[in-house]
Amino acid sequence: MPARFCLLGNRWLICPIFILLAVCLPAAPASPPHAIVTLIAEQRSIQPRHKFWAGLHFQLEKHWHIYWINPGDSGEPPRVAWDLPQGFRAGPIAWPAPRRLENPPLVDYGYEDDVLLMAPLDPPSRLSAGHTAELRATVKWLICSNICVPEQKQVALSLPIEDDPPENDSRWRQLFDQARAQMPRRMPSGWSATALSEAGHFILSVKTGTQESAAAFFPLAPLQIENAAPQQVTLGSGAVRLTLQKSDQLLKPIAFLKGVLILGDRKAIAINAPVASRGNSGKSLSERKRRQ
Amino acid sequence: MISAMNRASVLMGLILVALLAAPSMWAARVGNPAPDFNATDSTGKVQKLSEYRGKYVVLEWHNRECPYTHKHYVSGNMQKLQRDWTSKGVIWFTVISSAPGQQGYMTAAEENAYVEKMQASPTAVLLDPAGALGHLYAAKTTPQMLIINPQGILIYDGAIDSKPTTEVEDIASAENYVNLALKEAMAGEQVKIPVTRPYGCSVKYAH
Repeated sequence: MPARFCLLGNRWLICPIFILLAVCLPAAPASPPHAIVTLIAEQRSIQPRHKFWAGLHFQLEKHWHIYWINPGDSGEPPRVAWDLPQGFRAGPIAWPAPRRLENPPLVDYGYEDDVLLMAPLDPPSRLSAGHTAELRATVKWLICSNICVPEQKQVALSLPIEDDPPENDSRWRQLFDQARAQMPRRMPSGWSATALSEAGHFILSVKTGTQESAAAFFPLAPLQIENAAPQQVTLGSGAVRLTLQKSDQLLKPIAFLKGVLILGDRKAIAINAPVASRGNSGKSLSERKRRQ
Repeated sequence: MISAMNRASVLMGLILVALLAAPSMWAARVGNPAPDFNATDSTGKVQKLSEYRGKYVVLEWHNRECPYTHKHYVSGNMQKLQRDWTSKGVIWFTVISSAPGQQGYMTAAEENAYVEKMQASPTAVLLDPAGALGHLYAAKTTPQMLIINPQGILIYDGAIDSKPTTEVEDIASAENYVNLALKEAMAGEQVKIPVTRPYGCSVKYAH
């Protein structure tokens, strides 16, 4: 440990460097990074005042994973600190639907192999065509296999500013299309989601009007359901029902069960289900709905 | 490499923990009595939770190679918490549930050397290579922190603080949930934040 080396050794000149390293780069990876991260944009140029999508493309080493916005039982989602030209604004990451990562006795939520984390960028109106915009960001992520390593990278991308509507960058079209296909969608009209709170579990019922072949729920908030507990799924005609074990750490009633429902072959639906308790009158449920 | 003697002591530890910390039907849950356990510490002494009734007990799940644990040790934050609270009579058990061959697994000798090197001052380090204690308390991450009050009730279960990162510079601006809970409990108040999502690496149980 560097600090110890300093205390015992006589190399006082080296010591501050070690302390600095220890403070600035705790557990810095000595090995090459386990992820290649690049900043890409969906389009080839920037038009003043026209929002566009950028993306952090993570290419992960085999058997390593990064995390969803709710990482599950362990881990931490990637973070991005943008350094953009004056007047640019960045929106939050749009998180694609995660996968369930089994790590007995734990379950985490995240991504393996390859994922594009998209974020909207909003350029100002006062931009001079003919110039170039330098988009920069510091990306920090935790990547894990059996063990976890924090990694970070400064990424950058230069795009020309043009008054004409931009063309899409064909190199990244497939990546952005794939990421959009994995994005949780709002519930289609005619669907509804409700949850019932029972002694040890929630029953999430979603009326779909479709016959689904599979369903899995990914909670957005921690400490509501037990991530590792099996989800009991009933696939009816026109409805799916999931029995979700409550977290042992859930001490208070919750008003809404929020998360992502993944149906059939990776169709992701955003869920915000009002929670009723058995014995609750219908009135309190409708009150909750009104507050929503 | 593990010496024959260390192997024997690990085996003994495994047996003791397996025999004495048999998982109860009652999962550890804030507001409930903390399940009793016997676990062998890194000096070979058997520590029994119920012997500390009348005192606050902190359980700190530990894996020195986990970058989140590392953050709190390289900064001295964990050692300071240990010093501050043990000096006020709190019993502090660091618990290692890494299985042999997994990250963070330590023999008693290795752990004792580490405690000295890092100037850590837990009351004892409980060696839990079979994961019995970890499973009993459903420990998920390192560092995960639990606090048991003098009546033997679990009053806090979760993260060490409010900034779930591996970066030392985040410690200063984070809200330390262990300090908060112990201060409130000792002042006779309700613990305002009794559960949080424990952050960190997964506990490296045997597969």
